[in-house]
Amino acid sequence: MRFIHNMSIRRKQVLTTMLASSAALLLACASFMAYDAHAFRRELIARLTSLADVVANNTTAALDFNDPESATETLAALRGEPTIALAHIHGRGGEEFARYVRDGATVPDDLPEDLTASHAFVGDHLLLVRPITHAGEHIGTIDLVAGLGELSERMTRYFGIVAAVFLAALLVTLALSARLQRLISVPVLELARVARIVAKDRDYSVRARRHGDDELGELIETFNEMLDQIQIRDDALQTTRATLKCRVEERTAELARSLSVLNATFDSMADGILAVDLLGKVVNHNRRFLTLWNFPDDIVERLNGAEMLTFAATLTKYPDAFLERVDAMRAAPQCEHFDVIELADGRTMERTAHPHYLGDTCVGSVLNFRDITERRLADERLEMAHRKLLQTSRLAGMAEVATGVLHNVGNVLNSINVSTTLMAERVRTSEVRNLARVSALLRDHQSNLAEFLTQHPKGRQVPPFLESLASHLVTEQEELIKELEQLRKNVEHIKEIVAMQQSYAKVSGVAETVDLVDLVDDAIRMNAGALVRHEVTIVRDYCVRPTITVEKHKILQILVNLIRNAKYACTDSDRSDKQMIVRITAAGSRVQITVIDNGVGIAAENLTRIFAHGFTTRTNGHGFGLHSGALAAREMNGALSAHSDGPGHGASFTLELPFEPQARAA
Amino acid sequence: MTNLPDSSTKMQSAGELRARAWVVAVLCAIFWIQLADASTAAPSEDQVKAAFLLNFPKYVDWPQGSFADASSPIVITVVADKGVENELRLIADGKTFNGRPMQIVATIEAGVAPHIVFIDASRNRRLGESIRNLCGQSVLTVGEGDDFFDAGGIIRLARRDRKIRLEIDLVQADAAGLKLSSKLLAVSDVVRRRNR
Repeated sequence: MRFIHNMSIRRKQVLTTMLASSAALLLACASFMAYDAHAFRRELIARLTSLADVVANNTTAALDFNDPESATETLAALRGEPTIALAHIHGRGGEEFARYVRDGATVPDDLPEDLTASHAFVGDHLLLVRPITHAGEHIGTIDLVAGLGELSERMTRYFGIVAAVFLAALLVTLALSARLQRLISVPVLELARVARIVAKDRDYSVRARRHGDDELGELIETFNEMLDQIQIRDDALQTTRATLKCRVEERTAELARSLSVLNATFDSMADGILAVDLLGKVVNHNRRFLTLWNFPDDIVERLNGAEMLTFAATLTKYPDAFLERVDAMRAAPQCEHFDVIELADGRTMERTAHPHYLGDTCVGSVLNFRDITERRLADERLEMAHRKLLQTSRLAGMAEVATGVLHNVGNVLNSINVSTTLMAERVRTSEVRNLARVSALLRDHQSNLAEFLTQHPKGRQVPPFLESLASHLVTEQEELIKELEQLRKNVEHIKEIVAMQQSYAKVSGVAETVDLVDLVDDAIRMNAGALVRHEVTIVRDYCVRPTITVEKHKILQILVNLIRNAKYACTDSDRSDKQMIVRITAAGSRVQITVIDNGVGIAAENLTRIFAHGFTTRTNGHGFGLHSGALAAREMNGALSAHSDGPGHGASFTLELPFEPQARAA
Repeated sequence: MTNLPDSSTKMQSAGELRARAWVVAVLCAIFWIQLADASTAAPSEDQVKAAFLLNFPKYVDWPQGSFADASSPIVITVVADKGVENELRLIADGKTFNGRPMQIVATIEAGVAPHIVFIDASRNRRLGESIRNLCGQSVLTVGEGDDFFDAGGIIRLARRDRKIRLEIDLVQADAAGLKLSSKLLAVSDVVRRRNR
């Protein structure tokens, strides 16, 4: 079939036409011949059947009366039918009764002995069998054997005719198609010619000539239109190419400029930059990177990643750890890595690795090295300064505490002074001198004591005087004892304050179980002098009387601080009804001590800052009291909070502490 | 001779017995084949005559009134020795022609008009008398002998070259009112034609 594909279109057309017409002709002839053969056979069968029946009818009497001669004569009449080669008449027992053989006829040997069907074609012979009946009685059979020579003769004749017609038809078809094929082949060849010119010479100006309005004409038209478009596009392409070239040059120059800026930037960066691919090969680096690691010239020249790494490792303080982290970084290039490298020369370097993506694929890492030695040193200095500052503030705090302590001690000493003055006055004005007078009077009247006591008017006054004196003295003694007790308490408090100061200095203390009310009262008492002096009314509002286990002096310190602050707030407000409420409440497992004043109040913006270290609103404040108080409260698992509705509305400070509720009746 | 049977003799006698049975069986088979051959071989003269007699009704038309009704039998009277009559009875048994059965009778009886009468050659002495008795009746007379036609017979069975050939006297047939088929005439020799 290959050669057909490669044939020229003219030949193809002629060939296809010829093949189609031959096939049609052959098919027509073959069906005609087949039909004719079939019709011939059918007709032959019909003819022979009627012939056989006539003969059979004429031989009934011969069969009935056993006259084979007569039957043979009747059979001889078959001579008129030249196709019949052989005929037999058999009696009712099947025995041969009469026979007819055509002169010179050849009879096939392989005829079937008994035929069930009425006729059969055996080879080129037709075998026909008919029964002979007379008056409804089967009296014998007649069989005829006819040669089909006529049929084959007929077929041969037909073959001759078909061949002749076929040849003539082929010739006519050839002549016709040779002329008609031009209708198709000429335009196609024209199209091919033009296409060849276009393909070979790139000449888009040629056009194919149109021959008609059929599909080929349309094809040629479309082809020409296509050429038009190609021509337009080609022109446009040429123009674009020229423009593009120009633009590429421009863009290249632009790019080169950008690149040089970029490179300059890259090199002037304070950080060392190194770009590596996934295999650790150096892709790019800046100058700073080289100077940062002090790479020797030969290594810089070779720019071998592994070599650089080995060299860099020798510079680090812990080369093994360094290399280990490099391996970890290489194992996960798609992650960001951060690392601080300490060098043996004392420098510290910070290394950040970023993944390098090309589209969605990680193709390597970009490493950023930064010398953070200066920063680290600055950090260290800052830390030291901070520490020093902290120390200072602690000292300042202690000074504050000391001030407070001295202040408190002063206050207590004031009380002591009052007590001692009172006692001195008492002792000075004591009735003891009267006792001495009585005793002198009694000594003068020693001789007549009884008379004096009973007769003398003065003497008679002595016993009742002594009696009243005794009771007076007892009262006085009681008062003095009371005062002395107060004095002892004050001295004790001074001791405690001093001890507290010492404990503050140590910052730690011993927790003990105390009655919170006593503690609060002590705190108030420690400020009592100032409160009285500034005419601040104290209201004690103790809802509960809990005992708590705390570092007593820390609490005391906080409370003293709060009370003093409240006192200051009240004093600053210049109002006449200066009042301070000290309230103890309990909620759940915690107890709150609230100090509420009606003083100057706190501005909202300051509420969050008052606990900050160094913050104060007082001119001579340290900004340490509340700060340390809050810290101390937190140390004890408690909290110190402030609340104020604003300036002029007073303030309340709440110290909250955990406790075991062993509530006693308040 | 002892009275004790010898086992070996007994064995021998058993073998002989079997051989004899074989011989008898083979002989019987051959005889049977012979018999069968005889039956399919050339038929006897009586058989031929009987067959001819049975075939005549196909080629003969009797005048109207010869049969009482449509299913009346065709009566064939055989005035001959028993050979032909027996053969005829054998082959005619159960046979019908145009719905009519065949009836074979041995003698000509008064009142029963036969359709075919076969008169044997041995009865030729009274041949003329017998045929004359039937004159004027539509009876197909079949007979033998040289003087059969002289006696007024219609079809004579003549022996010729070891075959039986038909001879017909058409004048007598006409006189009897019988129409004979041309097919019958084609296989017969006509001895006398009617005058036109």
